[in-house]
Amino acid sequence: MILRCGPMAIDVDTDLPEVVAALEVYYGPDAILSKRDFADFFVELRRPAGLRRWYRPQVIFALDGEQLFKPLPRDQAMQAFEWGLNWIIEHHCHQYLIVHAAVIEKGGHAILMPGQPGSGKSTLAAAMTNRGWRLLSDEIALISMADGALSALARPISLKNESIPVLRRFVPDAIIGCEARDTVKGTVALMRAPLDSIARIAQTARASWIIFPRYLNGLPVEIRRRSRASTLMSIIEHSFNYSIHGKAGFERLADVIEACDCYDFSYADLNEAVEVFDALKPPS
Amino acid sequence: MTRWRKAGDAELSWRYWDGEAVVYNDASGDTHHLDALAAEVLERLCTHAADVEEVSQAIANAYGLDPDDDLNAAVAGSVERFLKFGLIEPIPT
Repeated sequence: MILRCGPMAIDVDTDLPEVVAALEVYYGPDAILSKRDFADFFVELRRPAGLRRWYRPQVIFALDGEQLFKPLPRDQAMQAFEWGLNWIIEHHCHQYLIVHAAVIEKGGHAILMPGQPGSGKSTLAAAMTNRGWRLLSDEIALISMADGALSALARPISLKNESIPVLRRFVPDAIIGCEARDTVKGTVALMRAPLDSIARIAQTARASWIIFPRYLNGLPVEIRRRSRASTLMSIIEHSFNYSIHGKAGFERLADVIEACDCYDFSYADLNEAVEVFDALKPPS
Repeated sequence: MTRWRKAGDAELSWRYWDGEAVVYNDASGDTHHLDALAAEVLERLCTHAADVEEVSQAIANAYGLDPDDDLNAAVAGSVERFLKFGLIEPIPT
Protein backbone atom coordinates (compact mmCIF):
# COMPACT_ATOMS: atom_id res chain seq x y z
CA MET A 1 0.00 0.00 0.00
CA ILE A 2 0.90 3.65 -0.30
CA LEU A 3 0.15 5.62 2.87
CA ARG A 4 -0.38 9.36 2.56
CA CYS A 5 1.07 10.93 5.68
CA GLY A 6 0.75 14.70 5.51
CA PRO A 7 3.04 15.94 2.75
CA MET A 8 4.65 12.51 2.25
CA ALA A 9 3.67 9.28 0.55
CA ILE A 10 5.08 6.11 2.06
CA ASP A 11 5.16 2.77 0.31
CA VAL A 12 4.43 0.31 3.13
CA ASP A 13 5.22 -3.33 2.50
CA THR A 14 4.00 -5.56 5.32
CA ASP A 15 2.93 -9.14 5.90
CA LEU A 16 1.12 -8.20 9.09
CA PRO A 17 -2.66 -7.98 8.61
CA GLU A 18 -3.11 -6.22 11.93
CA VAL A 19 -0.86 -3.40 10.70
CA VAL A 20 -2.81 -3.02 7.46
CA ALA A 21 -6.03 -2.76 9.44
CA ALA A 22 -4.53 -0.40 12.02
CA LEU A 23 -3.13 2.01 9.41
CA GLU A 24 -6.57 2.40 7.89
CA VAL A 25 -8.08 3.09 11.31
CA TYR A 26 -5.42 5.55 12.47
CA TYR A 27 -4.82 7.40 9.20
CA GLY A 28 -8.25 7.08 7.63
CA PRO A 29 -9.28 5.24 4.45
CA ASP A 30 -8.51 8.30 2.29
CA ALA A 31 -4.85 8.01 3.29
CA ILE A 32 -4.53 4.58 1.68
CA LEU A 33 -3.54 5.11 -1.96
CA SER A 34 -2.96 2.89 -4.94
CA LYS A 35 0.41 1.18 -5.33
CA ARG A 36 0.73 2.95 -8.65
CA ASP A 37 1.05 6.31 -6.94
CA PHE A 38 4.44 7.93 -6.37
CA ALA A 39 6.12 7.25 -3.03
CA ASP A 40 8.74 9.29 -1.20
CA PHE A 41 9.90 6.47 1.06
CA PHE A 42 9.89 2.68 0.86
CA VAL A 43 9.26 1.01 4.18
CA GLU A 44 8.96 -2.62 5.21
CA LEU A 45 7.38 -3.89 8.38
CA ARG A 46 7.79 -7.62 8.36
CA ARG A 47 8.39 -10.69 10.39
CA PRO A 48 11.98 -11.91 10.51
CA ALA A 49 13.02 -15.21 9.01
CA GLY A 50 13.71 -18.10 11.33
CA LEU A 51 12.59 -18.93 14.83
CA ARG A 52 11.59 -15.41 15.82
CA ARG A 53 9.01 -15.42 13.10
CA TRP A 54 7.02 -17.87 15.19
CA TYR A 55 8.44 -18.11 18.71
CA ARG A 56 8.01 -14.91 20.69
CA PRO A 57 7.42 -13.31 17.31
CA GLN A 58 9.12 -10.08 16.34
CA VAL A 59 8.79 -7.39 13.68
CA ILE A 60 11.50 -5.60 11.74
CA PHE A 61 11.26 -2.05 10.39
CA ALA A 62 13.31 -1.33 7.28
CA LEU A 63 13.78 1.69 5.06
CA ASP A 64 14.91 1.08 1.48
CA GLY A 65 15.71 -2.49 2.44
CA GLU A 66 17.91 -1.51 5.37
CA GLN A 67 16.89 -2.46 8.89
CA LEU A 68 16.88 0.68 11.02
CA PHE A 69 16.44 -0.69 14.52
CA LYS A 70 16.64 -3.89 16.44
CA PRO A 71 13.54 -6.11 16.11
CA LEU A 72 10.61 -5.45 18.41
CA PRO A 73 7.91 -7.81 19.73
CA ARG A 74 5.16 -8.30 17.20
CA ASP A 75 2.58 -6.76 19.54
CA GLN A 76 4.55 -3.49 19.24
CA ALA A 77 4.30 -3.50 15.43
CA MET A 78 2.39 -0.23 15.21
CA GLN A 79 4.78 1.42 17.66
CA ALA A 80 7.66 0.18 15.50
CA PHE A 81 6.01 1.75 12.48
CA GLU A 82 5.41 5.09 14.21
CA TRP A 83 8.90 5.27 15.68
CA GLY A 84 10.37 4.33 12.31
CA LEU A 85 8.32 7.04 10.64
CA ASN A 86 9.60 9.54 13.21
CA TRP A 87 13.15 8.55 12.29
CA ILE A 88 12.46 8.99 8.58
CA ILE A 89 10.97 12.44 9.06
CA GLU A 90 13.75 13.59 11.38
CA HIS A 91 16.48 12.47 8.99
CA HIS A 92 15.04 13.05 5.55
CA CYS A 93 12.55 15.91 5.49
CA HIS A 94 14.95 18.81 5.34
CA GLN A 95 12.69 20.98 3.26
CA TYR A 96 11.36 21.71 6.75
CA LEU A 97 12.82 22.96 9.98
CA ILE A 98 11.94 19.99 12.19
CA VAL A 99 11.23 20.60 15.85
CA HIS A 100 10.34 18.18 18.63
CA ALA A 101 7.00 19.81 19.31
CA ALA A 102 3.26 19.29 19.23
CA VAL A 103 1.21 21.59 17.02
CA ILE A 104 -2.48 22.40 17.38
CA GLU A 105 -4.60 25.03 15.66
CA LYS A 106 -7.89 26.85 16.03
CA GLY A 107 -9.38 29.72 14.04
CA GLY A 108 -6.29 29.97 11.85
CA HIS A 109 -3.90 30.38 14.80
CA ALA A 110 -1.52 27.59 15.74
CA ILE A 111 0.25 26.78 18.99
CA LEU A 112 3.72 25.28 18.73
CA MET A 113 4.49 23.28 21.90
CA PRO A 114 8.13 22.23 22.09
CA GLY A 115 9.10 19.75 24.76
CA GLN A 116 11.15 16.71 25.59
CA PRO A 117 9.50 13.33 26.18
CA GLY A 118 7.57 13.46 29.41
CA SER A 119 6.76 17.15 29.21
CA GLY A 120 3.09 16.40 28.62
CA LYS A 121 2.87 17.87 25.13
CA SER A 122 1.28 14.81 23.53
CA THR A 123 -1.23 14.49 26.37
CA LEU A 124 -2.07 18.16 26.03
CA ALA A 125 -2.40 17.87 22.25
CA ALA A 126 -4.68 14.84 22.63
CA ALA A 127 -6.90 16.72 25.08
CA MET A 128 -7.05 20.00 23.17
CA THR A 129 -7.82 18.35 19.85
CA ASN A 130 -10.85 16.75 21.45
CA ARG A 131 -12.05 20.12 22.69
CA GLY A 132 -12.22 22.09 19.45
CA TRP A 133 -8.58 22.39 18.39
CA ARG A 134 -7.19 20.75 15.26
CA LEU A 135 -4.23 18.40 15.50
CA LEU A 136 -1.35 19.03 13.15
CA SER A 137 1.11 16.88 15.09
CA ASP A 138 1.60 15.48 18.58
CA GLU A 139 5.37 15.17 18.38
CA ILE A 140 7.06 16.58 15.26
CA ALA A 141 6.54 20.12 14.00
CA LEU A 142 7.30 20.72 10.33
CA ILE A 143 8.11 24.38 9.63
CA SER A 144 8.38 25.09 5.92
CA MET A 145 11.77 26.60 5.06
CA ALA A 146 10.09 28.31 2.12
CA ASP A 147 7.49 30.32 4.02
CA GLY A 148 7.36 29.31 7.70
CA ALA A 149 3.98 27.57 7.42
CA LEU A 150 3.32 24.56 9.62
CA SER A 151 2.39 21.36 7.78
CA ALA A 152 0.02 18.82 9.26
CA LEU A 153 0.71 15.16 9.81
CA ALA A 154 -2.38 14.27 11.90
CA ARG A 155 -0.76 11.00 12.85
CA PRO A 156 -1.99 8.86 15.75
CA ILE A 157 -1.10 10.42 19.08
CA SER A 158 1.40 8.48 21.11
CA LEU A 159 0.25 8.14 24.73
CA LYS A 160 2.43 6.81 27.50
CA ASN A 161 1.90 5.31 30.93
CA GLU A 162 -0.40 7.41 33.15
CA SER A 163 -1.64 9.53 30.26
CA ILE A 164 -3.48 6.53 28.79
CA PRO A 165 -6.15 6.20 31.50
CA VAL A 166 -6.28 9.99 31.83
CA LEU A 167 -7.20 10.36 28.16
CA ARG A 168 -9.64 7.45 28.29
CA ARG A 169 -11.54 9.36 30.98
CA PHE A 170 -11.19 12.76 29.27
CA VAL A 171 -12.33 11.48 25.87
CA PRO A 172 -14.51 8.41 26.56
CA ASP A 173 -15.28 7.77 22.89
CA ALA A 174 -11.69 8.15 21.65
CA ILE A 175 -10.23 5.41 19.49
CA ILE A 176 -7.29 4.18 21.55
CA GLY A 177 -5.53 1.01 20.45
CA CYS A 178 -4.22 -1.85 22.51
CA GLU A 179 -1.63 -1.00 25.11
CA ALA A 180 1.87 -2.29 24.43
CA ARG A 181 3.68 -2.94 27.68
CA ASP A 182 7.36 -3.14 28.50
CA THR A 183 8.44 -0.96 25.62
CA VAL A 184 11.47 1.31 25.92
CA LYS A 185 9.01 4.08 26.80
CA GLY A 186 6.99 2.00 29.25
CA THR A 187 3.36 1.24 28.43
CA VAL A 188 2.29 2.95 25.23
CA ALA A 189 -0.88 3.19 23.17
CA LEU A 190 -1.92 5.04 20.04
CA MET A 191 -4.92 7.36 19.97
CA ARG A 192 -6.46 8.16 16.61
CA ALA A 193 -6.50 11.86 15.79
CA PRO A 194 -9.96 13.41 15.54
CA LEU A 195 -11.53 12.81 12.13
CA ASP A 196 -11.70 16.55 11.44
CA SER A 197 -7.94 16.83 11.93
CA ILE A 198 -7.37 13.96 9.52
CA ALA A 199 -9.76 15.46 6.98
CA ARG A 200 -7.94 18.81 7.05
CA ILE A 201 -4.46 17.36 6.75
CA ALA A 202 -3.68 19.38 3.64
CA GLN A 203 -4.29 22.68 5.43
CA THR A 204 -1.19 24.39 6.71
CA ALA A 205 -1.23 26.83 9.60
CA ARG A 206 0.69 29.80 11.00
CA ALA A 207 2.04 29.84 14.53
CA SER A 208 0.66 32.55 16.79
CA TRP A 209 1.87 31.15 20.09
CA ILE A 210 4.85 29.13 21.25
CA ILE A 211 4.11 27.44 24.56
CA PHE A 212 6.48 25.21 26.51
CA PRO A 213 4.31 22.79 28.47
CA ARG A 214 5.16 21.03 31.67
CA TYR A 215 2.97 18.62 33.55
CA LEU A 216 3.26 19.34 37.30
CA ASN A 217 1.05 17.03 39.32
CA GLY A 218 -0.99 18.70 42.04
CA LEU A 219 -0.03 22.29 41.24
CA PRO A 220 -2.37 24.98 39.92
CA VAL A 221 -2.30 25.86 36.25
CA GLU A 222 0.09 28.66 35.38
CA ILE A 223 1.07 30.47 32.22
CA ARG A 224 3.93 32.98 32.15
CA ARG A 225 5.39 35.05 29.35
CA ARG A 226 8.89 34.28 28.21
CA SER A 227 11.18 36.26 25.99
CA ARG A 228 11.38 35.67 22.27
CA ALA A 229 15.16 35.49 22.51
CA SER A 230 15.10 32.68 25.09
CA THR A 231 12.37 30.96 23.06
CA LEU A 232 14.55 30.96 19.96
CA MET A 233 17.43 29.42 21.90
CA SER A 234 15.15 26.75 23.39
CA ILE A 235 13.61 25.83 20.05
CA ILE A 236 17.09 25.38 18.61
CA GLU A 237 17.70 22.82 21.36
CA HIS A 238 14.49 21.05 20.39
CA SER A 239 15.28 21.07 16.68
CA PHE A 240 16.50 18.02 14.80
CA ASN A 241 18.02 19.83 11.85
CA TYR A 242 18.60 23.51 12.67
CA SER A 243 22.33 23.09 12.11
CA ILE A 244 21.78 21.86 8.56
CA HIS A 245 20.01 25.01 7.45
CA GLY A 246 22.59 27.55 8.56
CA LYS A 247 21.68 31.21 8.29
CA ALA A 248 18.46 30.44 6.42
CA GLY A 249 17.31 28.31 9.34
CA PHE A 250 18.11 31.07 11.82
CA GLU A 251 16.21 33.67 9.78
CA ARG A 252 13.23 31.37 9.20
CA LEU A 253 12.95 30.40 12.87
CA ALA A 254 13.36 34.01 13.98
CA ASP A 255 10.58 35.06 11.59
CA VAL A 256 8.25 32.43 13.06
CA ILE A 257 9.01 33.59 16.60
CA GLU A 258 8.62 37.23 15.64
CA ALA A 259 4.97 36.53 14.89
CA CYS A 260 4.30 34.71 18.16
CA ASP A 261 3.65 35.36 21.82
CA CYS A 262 5.75 32.98 23.89
CA TYR A 263 4.95 31.31 27.21
CA ASP A 264 5.94 28.73 29.76
CA PHE A 265 2.91 26.68 30.81
CA SER A 266 2.46 24.24 33.67
CA TYR A 267 -0.66 22.23 34.36
CA ALA A 268 -2.04 19.30 36.28
CA ASP A 269 -5.67 19.33 35.18
CA LEU A 270 -6.64 19.06 31.51
CA ASN A 271 -9.88 21.02 31.93
CA GLU A 272 -7.95 23.94 33.39
CA ALA A 273 -5.46 23.68 30.55
CA VAL A 274 -8.28 23.84 27.98
CA GLU A 275 -9.65 26.99 29.62
CA VAL A 276 -6.27 28.71 29.48
CA PHE A 277 -5.67 27.82 25.85
CA ASP A 278 -9.19 28.81 24.79
CA ALA A 279 -8.65 32.22 26.39
CA LEU A 280 -5.47 32.99 24.44
CA LYS A 281 -5.66 36.13 22.31
CA PRO A 282 -3.73 36.26 19.03
CA PRO A 283 -0.70 38.55 19.07
CA SER A 284 -1.46 42.11 18.11
CA MET B 1 45.64 47.95 25.98
CA THR B 2 44.35 45.39 23.49
CA ARG B 3 42.06 46.69 20.81
CA TRP B 4 39.31 44.40 19.56
CA ARG B 5 37.40 44.07 16.31
CA LYS B 6 34.92 41.68 14.70
CA ALA B 7 36.64 38.42 13.82
CA GLY B 8 37.55 38.37 10.14
CA ASP B 9 35.53 35.29 9.28
CA ALA B 10 32.54 36.03 11.51
CA GLU B 11 29.38 36.60 9.45
CA LEU B 12 26.72 37.75 11.87
CA SER B 13 22.94 37.88 11.61
CA TRP B 14 21.05 39.69 14.36
CA ARG B 15 17.59 39.69 15.89
CA TYR B 16 16.56 42.03 18.69
CA TRP B 17 13.62 41.58 21.01
CA ASP B 18 12.82 43.49 24.20
CA GLY B 19 16.36 44.34 25.20
CA GLU B 20 17.85 40.99 24.22
CA ALA B 21 19.60 39.90 21.06
CA VAL B 22 20.21 36.61 19.33
CA VAL B 23 23.17 36.48 16.97
CA TYR B 24 23.91 33.78 14.42
CA ASN B 25 27.48 33.37 13.20
CA ASP B 26 27.47 31.74 9.77
CA ALA B 27 31.21 31.02 10.01
CA SER B 28 30.79 28.75 13.04
CA GLY B 29 27.11 27.80 12.86
CA ASP B 30 26.75 28.95 16.47
CA THR B 31 23.82 30.95 17.81
CA HIS B 32 24.35 33.27 20.76
CA HIS B 33 21.89 34.83 23.21
CA LEU B 34 23.02 38.27 24.43
CA ASP B 35 21.62 40.56 27.06
CA ALA B 36 21.28 44.26 26.31
CA LEU B 37 24.78 45.25 27.43
CA ALA B 38 26.53 42.37 25.66
CA ALA B 39 24.63 43.20 22.48
CA GLU B 40 25.72 46.81 22.76
CA VAL B 41 29.37 45.81 23.21
CA LEU B 42 29.38 43.42 20.25
CA GLU B 43 27.59 45.88 18.00
CA ARG B 44 30.15 48.55 18.75
CA LEU B 45 33.09 46.24 18.14
CA CYS B 46 31.53 45.11 14.86
CA THR B 47 31.35 48.74 13.79
CA HIS B 48 34.65 50.13 15.11
CA ALA B 49 37.70 48.54 16.69
CA ALA B 50 38.14 49.59 20.31
CA ASP B 51 39.58 48.55 23.64
CA VAL B 52 37.53 47.78 26.74
CA GLU B 53 37.86 51.29 28.20
CA GLU B 54 36.81 52.93 24.95
CA VAL B 55 33.73 50.71 24.69
CA SER B 56 32.81 51.38 28.33
CA GLN B 57 33.18 55.11 27.86
CA ALA B 58 31.14 55.11 24.66
CA ILE B 59 28.32 53.15 26.32
CA ALA B 60 28.44 55.39 29.38
CA ASN B 61 28.20 58.48 27.18
CA ALA B 62 25.38 57.09 25.10
CA TYR B 63 23.22 56.09 28.04
CA GLY B 64 24.13 58.61 30.74
CA LEU B 65 25.99 56.08 32.91
CA ASP B 66 29.07 56.40 35.07
CA PRO B 67 31.96 54.54 33.44
CA ASP B 68 32.67 52.79 36.74
CA ASP B 69 34.41 49.56 37.62
CA ASP B 70 31.19 47.54 37.35
CA LEU B 71 30.59 48.71 33.81
CA ASN B 72 34.22 48.10 32.85
CA ALA B 73 34.09 44.60 34.33
CA ALA B 74 30.87 43.81 32.50
CA VAL B 75 32.32 45.01 29.21
CA ALA B 76 35.52 43.06 29.83
CA GLY B 77 33.51 39.94 30.60
CA SER B 78 31.60 40.28 27.35
CA VAL B 79 34.81 40.76 25.40
CA GLU B 80 36.27 37.62 26.98
CA ARG B 81 33.20 35.60 25.97
CA PHE B 82 33.14 37.00 22.45
CA LEU B 83 36.78 36.08 21.98
CA LYS B 84 36.08 32.55 23.22
CA PHE B 85 33.17 32.20 20.77
CA GLY B 86 35.19 33.45 17.82
CA LEU B 87 33.13 36.59 17.38
CA ILE B 88 35.95 39.06 17.87
CA GLU B 89 39.72 39.09 17.52
CA PRO B 90 42.54 41.24 18.84
CA ILE B 91 44.11 43.69 16.48
CA PRO B 92 47.76 42.77 16.08
CA THR B 93 50.11 45.40 17.44
